[in-house]
Amino acid sequence: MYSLVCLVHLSDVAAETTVRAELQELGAAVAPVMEGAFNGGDLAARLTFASEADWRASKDAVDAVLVGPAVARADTALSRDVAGGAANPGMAGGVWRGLLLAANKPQAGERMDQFESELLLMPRYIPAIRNWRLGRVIAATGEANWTHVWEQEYEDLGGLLGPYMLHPYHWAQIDRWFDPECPDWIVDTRLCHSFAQFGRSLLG
Amino acid sequence: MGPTVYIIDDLVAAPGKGHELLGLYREKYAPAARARGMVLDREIVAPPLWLDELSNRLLITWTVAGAAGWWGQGVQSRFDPGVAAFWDEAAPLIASRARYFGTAEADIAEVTHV
Repeated sequence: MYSLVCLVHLSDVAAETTVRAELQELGAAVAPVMEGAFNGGDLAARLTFASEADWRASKDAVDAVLVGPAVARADTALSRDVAGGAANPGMAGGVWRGLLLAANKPQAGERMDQFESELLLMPRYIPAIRNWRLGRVIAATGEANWTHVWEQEYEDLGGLLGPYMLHPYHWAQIDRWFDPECPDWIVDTRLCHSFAQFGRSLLG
Repeated sequence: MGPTVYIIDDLVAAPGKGHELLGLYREKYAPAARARGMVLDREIVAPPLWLDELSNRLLITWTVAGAAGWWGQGVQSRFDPGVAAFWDEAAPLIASRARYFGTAEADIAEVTHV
């Protein structure tokens, strides 16, 4: 499967309803980005495709919305599944979190498998992550040439801001990939950390 | 607050450069680290003499208060160009290095109960 995550920065907040409707018309799940995101946009939109050809068939229409006058800019990432899981596939009312990252430092290539494997172990140690998906990016736009999309779903915002952020598997194990002070650093410090409530599970 | 978190720099100096490396670390890394909330716990030099032909190992341990203290220093350091500049300057003095984050074994249950 393929997913397209679009983090839309609006130039005209009053046009939110219009942009949202236009993306929904194309089959996207769309929700306002919640307070506290970092470079996360104003609207989060997500589309799924069975094939790259299906994405190509929709690409021009999606792009047309994202270059419209109400949109200041958008960070987008089309990614192919690496792996995912669902502990609560029917979750309703939870919080989706999407991280767009660029693992582009010189040593990234030789360490990529370990990086991805360790990311995918996060739900094992942090059960507040109920559903998850890691994708490798095929096409990206925005502030960086994004290489990965790391998505999770939580029962509520507390799961993201509490266990996810505070568990030592995150800060004492995973974060070294993101930390320029650590020799294992491979991920650019420019990130998109966005979260939203879609009213249903997108990853289940 | 949470349990004490240890940030451990494990620096293997280039041969004969151990003393110079520790001096540079004290002069150009430690002040900003303290400003980020890190508290110097200890500096271990191994073996405990300055080697001219071989490498000294420096184990420099800092503490912060819990995960919040860890994120506080971490977020500040990655957006402080002075930190990157220090590691660039120190690179010729370093043969290899690692950085570890941990707690006392007795604190594992508390630190993982989040």
